[in-house]
Amino acid sequence: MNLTEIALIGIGIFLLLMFLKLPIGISMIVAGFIGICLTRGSNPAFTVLGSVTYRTATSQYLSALPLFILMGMLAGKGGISKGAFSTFQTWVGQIRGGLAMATTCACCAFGAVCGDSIAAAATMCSVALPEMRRYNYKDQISLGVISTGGNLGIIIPPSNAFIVYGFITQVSIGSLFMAGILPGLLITLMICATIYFQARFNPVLAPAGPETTWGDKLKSISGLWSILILFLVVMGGIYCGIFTPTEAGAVGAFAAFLIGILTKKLTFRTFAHVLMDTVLTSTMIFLLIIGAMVLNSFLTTTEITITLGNFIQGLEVNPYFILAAILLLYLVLGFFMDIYAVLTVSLPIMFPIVTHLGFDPVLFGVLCICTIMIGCITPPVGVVTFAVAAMAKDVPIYTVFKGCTPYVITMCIGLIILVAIPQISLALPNMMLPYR
Amino acid sequence: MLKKVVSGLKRVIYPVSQGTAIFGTVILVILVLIPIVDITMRRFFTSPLPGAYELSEFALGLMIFTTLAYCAVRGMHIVVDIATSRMPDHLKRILDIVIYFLSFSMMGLVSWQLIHRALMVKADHEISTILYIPTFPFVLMAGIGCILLALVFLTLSLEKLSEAVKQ
Repeated sequence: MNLTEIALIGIGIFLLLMFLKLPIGISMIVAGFIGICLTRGSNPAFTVLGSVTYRTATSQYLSALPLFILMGMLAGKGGISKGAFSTFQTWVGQIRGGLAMATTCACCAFGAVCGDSIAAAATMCSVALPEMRRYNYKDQISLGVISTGGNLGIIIPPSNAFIVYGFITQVSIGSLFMAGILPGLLITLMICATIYFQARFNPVLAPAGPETTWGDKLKSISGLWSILILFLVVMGGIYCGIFTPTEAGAVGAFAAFLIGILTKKLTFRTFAHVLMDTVLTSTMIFLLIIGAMVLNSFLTTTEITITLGNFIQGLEVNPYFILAAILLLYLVLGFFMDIYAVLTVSLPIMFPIVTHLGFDPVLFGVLCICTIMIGCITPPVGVVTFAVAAMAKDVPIYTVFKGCTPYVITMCIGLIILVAIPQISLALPNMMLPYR
Repeated sequence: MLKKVVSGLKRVIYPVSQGTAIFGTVILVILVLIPIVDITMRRFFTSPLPGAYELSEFALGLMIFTTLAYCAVRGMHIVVDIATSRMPDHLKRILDIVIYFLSFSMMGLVSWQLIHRALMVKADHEISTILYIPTFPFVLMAGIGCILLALVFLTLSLEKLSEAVKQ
């Protein structure tokens, strides 16, 4: 057996175990272990099990992950999302589809402090859905907007997905965070435009809300203060070089804690729950990353990524076709897998190929995370959609998927724009680190 | 008999894993405080917290390994069930027994390697670069955390086996 055949066997074992419902992290560890046994023998394989597991779980680079998860969870419990929704509701609620636009903007703002799509969607579901129902919005559009908007948290920094991407590919987390800002805003605007046209052509879907005065509008801005403080502290600190991303995570979590105390929303019991949820979520993601690193060690020994890269280059196909094929694969993976699972499973193989083709690693980070984001609200699985349907109760999942369809198309168009104009993603990281 | 073994294992392992996870939440608070103290000392006293990076790494490792088992107790480790969800019940049960047993075996191997590594580190008197903290207790804790996770998988496997026998 040559090395390429062994690599394919290893990948086959991993896929088989994963589809047989073995936890994904452990599937990767098993495949990586067997693979290294075949390529290098059992002693190196056993050594990798101990050393890679410990090294990954004690990586300073990854300590940002639990800190940003904690910050997002504290922000969610601190009533930050409700304040943001009230502000946007006051500004745009009176136009047709305005509440749906307010939800999208609030999700975008909440995404600036919470990097997890399901947490963001759950929070917005409890805040925005009752209001939209009160003003006779159809569940189809309300839930479609909440699912899509909740997803924005993945791309708008600080994003946990970017931390995982950055660790596996060794790309600067600060650059990735900066790269997510403009694409996130672009997609938010495109979704708002879609809602506007939907409501214009079918007013029953999303009727106009109550009128507000300029006084109300100006007064409502105070609802955004906590998000602004957190965002400026975290992203401003990273951009100006005051903090590393890890330090920014700690400062952000601490600031979110203080905001929760000041607004009296955070009790000791809630805080204890938030801490437990944070360690559990972090550990869940860490097992995936540990698995990916063991599998990565195996794939490196087989040189499969170099072989694949050379093979693809030998095809003499336009690199954009290959990028499109890879993004299509990400879209399909996003249909039935969690975002962290998709990243950890695919990046050890895909990333070297993409960089071999000459694409910017930061740009690819934005593109692949954007693509997986679309998969998260697409049938058959669409993890965020299912979470929203479960929270809305008595709404068939079909209605939520139907509601998401116009935004899936919008996001696909957004993705094409991001591929065509890389500067949208790269302008801010290039400004922050000109020689990156 | 099997049922008694399962309930005995559950009575011991589940509370222990919950206890270690609570310890993990305390470590999380420390993980937040380390950079805060470091930044404060750097900004206001012009001297950073010595070995802040090392402390963060140790704290992160402790937090992860002490929570791994409770994560499995709560069924939070990510699985893909798209291929197995339509299988007949009896087949699903057999598959669960095998899958949990495989998870137990693999995590058993990982924990064995971590304990082995811990003993090597102890024999070499390995210490951290800046604060000279012995690495041994942290690697040992990692091994113990993985043993606990392996035992949770063993319990789940035996539980499924006892259900299958009952059927």
